[in-house]
This record gives sequence, structure tokens and C-alpha cells, in this order.
Amino acid sequence: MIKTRTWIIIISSVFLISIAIWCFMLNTSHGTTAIIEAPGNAYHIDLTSPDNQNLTIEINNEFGKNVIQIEKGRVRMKEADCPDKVCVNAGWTSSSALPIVCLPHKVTITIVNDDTEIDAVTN
Amino acid sequence: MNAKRIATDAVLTTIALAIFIVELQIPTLVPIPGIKLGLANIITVFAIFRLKKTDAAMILFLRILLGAMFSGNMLAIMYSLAGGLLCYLSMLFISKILTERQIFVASIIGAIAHNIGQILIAFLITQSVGIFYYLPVLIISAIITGLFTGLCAQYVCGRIKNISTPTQQ
Repeated sequence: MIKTRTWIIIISSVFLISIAIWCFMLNTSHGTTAIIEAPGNAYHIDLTSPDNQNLTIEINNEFGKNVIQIEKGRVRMKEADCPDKVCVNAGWTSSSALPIVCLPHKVTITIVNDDTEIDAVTN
Repeated sequence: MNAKRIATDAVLTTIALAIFIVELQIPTLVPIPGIKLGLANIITVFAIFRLKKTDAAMILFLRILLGAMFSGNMLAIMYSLAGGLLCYLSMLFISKILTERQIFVASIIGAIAHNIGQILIAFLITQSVGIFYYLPVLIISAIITGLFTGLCAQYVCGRIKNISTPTQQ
């Protein structure tokens, strides 16, 4: 049997490592491109481009409606008719550590840096 | 399957379901899908440590199924089932090497497994790799909520030593 103290040490280390990874992600993950994925369509939007400083994207699919707003290099879910509103409550993001997900409508907004290889993975 | 066993499972399922429904009324504190207290897990942990493994599985499965029906959120059942299955298997495995005073560990590991299961289903449904960015924060929340529900379960297990036979006074 493993001692209780050993268990506490194992769990605390996992906890601290997760917090460290999370902080690291928050600090290093300022991104410049928003990838919006929904069933049937995907958008790559350059958040730094002057053309995209007052942009609203409306996604209508069989699950419902989502309105995405892009402004000042950041992005948010402005409106959604999903039941839980988790995506709307997430607010603005410009960090890849804070993606916005609307699970009922299968819409995700992730932020990447143009010069990273994540683009190649997500296409 | 005798009447006592059916009654025990039914009562525990009812308690778990009631906890689950009450918990739904608590507003979500963090705008990240998948973060919640998981109070109904107290019953699952209790069942794993005090009942047969088939009873624990039945209680968990019925609670997920009825919980989805009663909350009217059948879409979420995929997440609950995947999370519940991983949570159950990991707790069953880890419970073999835990003592009575380490029950909270099973709950923490179960909570982490539950969140990993949910994130895998979310990945399968949305096909977006970005969803894995939630993993560290889901593990952090699983450890905090798992510790809380695990300690509750440990106190319950301490009070109810043997549920299958009447206690001798």
C-alpha cells in the first residue's frame, strides 16, 4: 500500500505542474490568427490586419446561430442561441490558452500564431 | 438479485440523481465547458468502495441516463457517458490499492479521468485540436473538485461501514 503522504505528494505535483503549464500557456500564447471552425465551414482570420478590426461573422447551421465579433486584435462570441451560453460568457480572447468553444453548436474559436506550426496540424 | 440489493441500488441512484439535479441549478463559475463540482460523484465513490462493482456501474449508468432525461439535455449524454466510463474504470482500478483513509485519492483520479474522457469526446465532435488547450485547466479543476467530493465520500464511507447487512448495535 502506498502511504497517504505519498499520494498527497503525487497529486500536489500534478496540480502544480498543471498550474505551471497553464501559466506558461497564458504568458506565451498571444496569437495573431483566429481559426473559427464550425460544421461545414472554417475561417482563418488575421487579427492584426486593419481590414478585420470591425468584423462580425454569423454562423448558421443545423444546431443554431452564433455571432462572432472581431475587434482590436481580439475575438469573442457576441451572441449564440445555445442553451448554456458558456461561449458568450467566455468574453474576449486573444490567447491560444483561452479558446472559445460552443459545444452545443460545435463551433470552436482557437487562436494561433502565424509563425507556429499549429496551422499545419489544424489545416 | 435480492430485494435488499435492489433497494440499496435504487436508493443510491435516487440520491445521486437528486444531487445531480440540484447541482445543475448552481450557476457555472468559470466560462469553460466541463468545469463543475460533480457532487454526484460522492455516490459513485461510495458505491465503488462499499458495493459490488456491478452495482456501482449500474448506479452510475442509471444516474447519467436519468440525469440527462430529467435535465432535458440529451446532447450532453455523450460527454457524461464517456467521462463516467473512464471515471468508473480508473476508480475501480485504483480502489484496489487504496486504504480506507485514502478514498479521496480515488475521487481525484476519477475526476481527472472524467475530464479527460469529456475532452476526448469534445475533440471527436468538434474535430478541433484547440480544445486540448483546456486540458491543464480541466486537470486543475478536477483535482480541486475531486478532493472536495472525495473527502465527502470518505466521511460517508467512514459512517456507513457495511450497507449490505443491518448494522449490529
